[in-house]
Amino acid sequence: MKRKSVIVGAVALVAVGAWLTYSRTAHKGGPSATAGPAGQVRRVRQTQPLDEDYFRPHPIGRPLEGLPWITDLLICDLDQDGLKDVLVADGRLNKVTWIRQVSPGKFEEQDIGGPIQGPAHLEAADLRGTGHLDVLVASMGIIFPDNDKIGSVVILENDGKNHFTNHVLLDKVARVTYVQAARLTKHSVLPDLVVGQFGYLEGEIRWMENMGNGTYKSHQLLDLPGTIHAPVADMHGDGNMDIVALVSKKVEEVHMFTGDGQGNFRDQVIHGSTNQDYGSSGLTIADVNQDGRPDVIFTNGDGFSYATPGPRPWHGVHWLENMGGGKFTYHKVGDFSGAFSPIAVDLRGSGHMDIVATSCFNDWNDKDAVSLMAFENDGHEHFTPRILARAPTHLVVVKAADMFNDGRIELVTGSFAFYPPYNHVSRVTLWEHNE
Amino acid sequence: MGHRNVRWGLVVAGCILAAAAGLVLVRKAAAPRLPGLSSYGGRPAAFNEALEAARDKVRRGDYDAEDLRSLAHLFQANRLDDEALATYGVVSKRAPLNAHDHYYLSELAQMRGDLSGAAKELRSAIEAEPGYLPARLTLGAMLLKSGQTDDAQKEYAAILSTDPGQPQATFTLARIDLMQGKDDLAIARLEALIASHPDMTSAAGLLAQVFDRRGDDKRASALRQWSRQKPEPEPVDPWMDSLMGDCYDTVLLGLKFEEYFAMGQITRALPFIDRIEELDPKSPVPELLRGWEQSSNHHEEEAVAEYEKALAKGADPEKICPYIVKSLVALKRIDDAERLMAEFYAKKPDSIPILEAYATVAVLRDDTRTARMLLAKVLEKEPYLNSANLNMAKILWSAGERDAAAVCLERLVEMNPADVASRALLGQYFLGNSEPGSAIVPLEQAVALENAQSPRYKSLTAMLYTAYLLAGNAESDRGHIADAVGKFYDKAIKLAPDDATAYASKAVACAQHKEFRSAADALETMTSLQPRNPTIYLSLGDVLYQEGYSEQARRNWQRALSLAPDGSTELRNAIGERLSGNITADTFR
Repeated sequence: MKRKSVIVGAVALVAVGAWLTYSRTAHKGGPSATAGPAGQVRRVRQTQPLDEDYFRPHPIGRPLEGLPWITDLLICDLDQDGLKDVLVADGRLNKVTWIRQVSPGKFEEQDIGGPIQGPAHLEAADLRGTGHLDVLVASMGIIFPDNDKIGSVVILENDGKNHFTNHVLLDKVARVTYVQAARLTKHSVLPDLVVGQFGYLEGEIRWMENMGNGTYKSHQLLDLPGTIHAPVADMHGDGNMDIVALVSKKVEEVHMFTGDGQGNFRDQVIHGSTNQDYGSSGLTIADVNQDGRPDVIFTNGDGFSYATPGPRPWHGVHWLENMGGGKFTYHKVGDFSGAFSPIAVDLRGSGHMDIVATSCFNDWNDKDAVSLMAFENDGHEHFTPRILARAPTHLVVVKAADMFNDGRIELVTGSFAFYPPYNHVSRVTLWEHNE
Repeated sequence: MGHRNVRWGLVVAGCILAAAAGLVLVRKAAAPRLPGLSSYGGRPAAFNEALEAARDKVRRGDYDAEDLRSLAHLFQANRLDDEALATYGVVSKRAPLNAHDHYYLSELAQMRGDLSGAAKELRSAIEAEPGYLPARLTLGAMLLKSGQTDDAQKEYAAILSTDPGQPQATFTLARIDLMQGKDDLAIARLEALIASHPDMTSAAGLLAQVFDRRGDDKRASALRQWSRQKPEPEPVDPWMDSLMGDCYDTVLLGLKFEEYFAMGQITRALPFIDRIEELDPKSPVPELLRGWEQSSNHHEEEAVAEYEKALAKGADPEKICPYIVKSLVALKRIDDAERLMAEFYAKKPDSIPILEAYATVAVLRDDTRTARMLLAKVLEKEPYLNSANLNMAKILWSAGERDAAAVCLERLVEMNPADVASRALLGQYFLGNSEPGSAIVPLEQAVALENAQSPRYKSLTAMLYTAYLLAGNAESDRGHIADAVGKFYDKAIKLAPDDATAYASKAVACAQHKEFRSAADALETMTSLQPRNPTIYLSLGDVLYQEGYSEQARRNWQRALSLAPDGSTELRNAIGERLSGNITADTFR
């Protein structure tokens, strides 16, 4: 009897454990999860170790002509044909392009919309309730430092037939580096916008209330220059949208703007550095430890405005663990020279969020310098650095998705070739599994 | 007995020796273990020598706290932070930590992102040395950056109570005011701050931003100009400066030089160059930095001398050539620049920086043949270089090779959002090539960018006007009347509403396509611009007649007749025919 109870108990435990494991993997897979035929989430667990052989890089889109200045990438199914595409912000050619996956694994690149000066950030959203994805573009005007009011926010409006028309929402403002559409208040019907303006000596963060009929009303959030990213998430779990911003230049701070759902936001600095050469470079929000609370991951690795650009010993990847109640605990994920573009993604289908980042400002004269790094999560948020690649170099952005709907994660990177050597430069690279 | 004594003696001696050895071992075991490696690969030999000396001194000095501190500083200044932290741990076991120790430990805590740990150490440093301002300012910053805004505010207020008007504290308090929505208080603080410290350019920038947001464009504009001066100087931090004296990392020293140089603190900047030179006498970096500094101060002769020394020390000519050419050109020593670049071009014929620098010199010498050859090589490798495209476009345009020049101009337009000249030339090219539709976009951009009061604005609008008319005519000829009117004629009219030509073109096109109402509207506007022009009334009458308004048509023809000069027989006959009712299908052709 006792024995039977033990067996039943063990079976029950195994079943509960399996269910828990499944739930954890299935429901918290984040960007790496894919939908199976019945809408069921399907992930393929990878056995291959994370190392330089894990991915096989190959260029996609137009061939490299001169030095690339890719400033941002976005993976989305723009034409909603079931195949994921890649949108490209080209800061040198001042345009947004669409690398369309015309059939599985086959990519063709085309311009969308008219020229946009210094595009720096891309988002896709149905901004007008048409059922089609428009493309929201943050335009710096000029990528290099400039204090003039040359920034703008542009929507590439989708007519539903893959024709895009530029519609300027905001212009003649300090250089815009970030824009995101989100319903920021409880009464928002159409998406509002968060706009980060790096500027130079002047800059700001504002949110733009969607008043309908394509009109917006600006509300100031921060008067400082230097905003790099300002993503939106419900950081407090109270149903109200908050904004987390990485502000560089002199202050080197992470700000959280706590929303009350009524359009009021309270500014709080949640982390920062007094090191003027800290080089904040990128921030995203992800539930790293899968505790239901969105965390903040950020990188510092910028070396843009120096006579001697390159790696610094303090460059790296960082995690601000959301403890709830507006409290965050800082963790260093790992050192990484020239680090940019942190993303959280379950690379191997293990159920744990790894962190991937690129390096744009490494010492590219050193053949061992790393350009793409994963920090593998052991399930207890202990991260082990795994070198994914040393070339191509000058990688400024990485995005992850299951590009081929096969349950495996691919990466897409873009390069910003700012300083020599340029021996191993690419433009847009797809990192496919080597298995 | 004798043997017994000897045996006892040996035993005793053995015991003494064993005890001594034991004592030595115990003492050795009790001695603190020094952290870190005895030498570090990849670090300069001078650092490893200094490290060895520091470790020896610690051991020989019986682990004296001061010697341990020196070792800790050596680690910390060279960003061996874990080793430094462990060494301070050893220090703390030998002697109480002093204010400097806590200050340096706070810096280590900051470097590993432990802001509360940094604040704790700073409080200890301040307790021991309450007057050390950099520690108090850093504590304020730590509190603010870790979300303890109220505590930060108190700390900055405390600084102001002992050091009224302290600029960094005032600036940060203004920032906190703004975070809390207290704009007026922030403005008052910032205005007082820039009045007392005109070099606080960050304050001017912040104030400009606030005024801009509040719609006070005039004050925002004035403060914006103010903020464009060099960054304000950082408060002097002798403790941290002294730590940098132990730095053997030339990259970190170079960064410090740049930081102080950018703030105009030259006397603080220059020792870092000296230090780099001392560490690596063969390095050309000090000469490069000195040349850069001299050139920034417009001392071009001195800059050239430094760059030449750097080249002599083996500096990479790809890095130096663009700088030295810039200085030589500023000195108008074009021949010297040409000689130098010819020499390096012979050595590195495929280097883009050398090709570019050499091409710049060739352009200045009007050596078109060489410049063209060099620029072609540059653009083959790097098609989107700004100055190369600009110079090549000028050369090709002057040579009449406008198709090739247009390729460069199109690249320039793509790259440069504010380049009016390239857009104007490209527009001119397309107009000359009978491609008015292609001319419109660059010309529209150029008109939008150009100051409306400038002489160039007039010629740009004239070109754009022509482009609209020609493009409209082409669309009309293709039968696309709606596009001709909406995309071109109406834009031309909007651009120059007092010019009758676009109205006339629109009227003709509309009439040809039987859009009589639109044609009549255009002609009616023309009558207000040229009220004594009989042809307009004749045409207006024609259009109204075809639209079915015979009586109105007749009134306009009569008006035309009254205005027609006596000698204009043909015109008068045409009007007369209409008025006499002699109207056939051919009348309006």
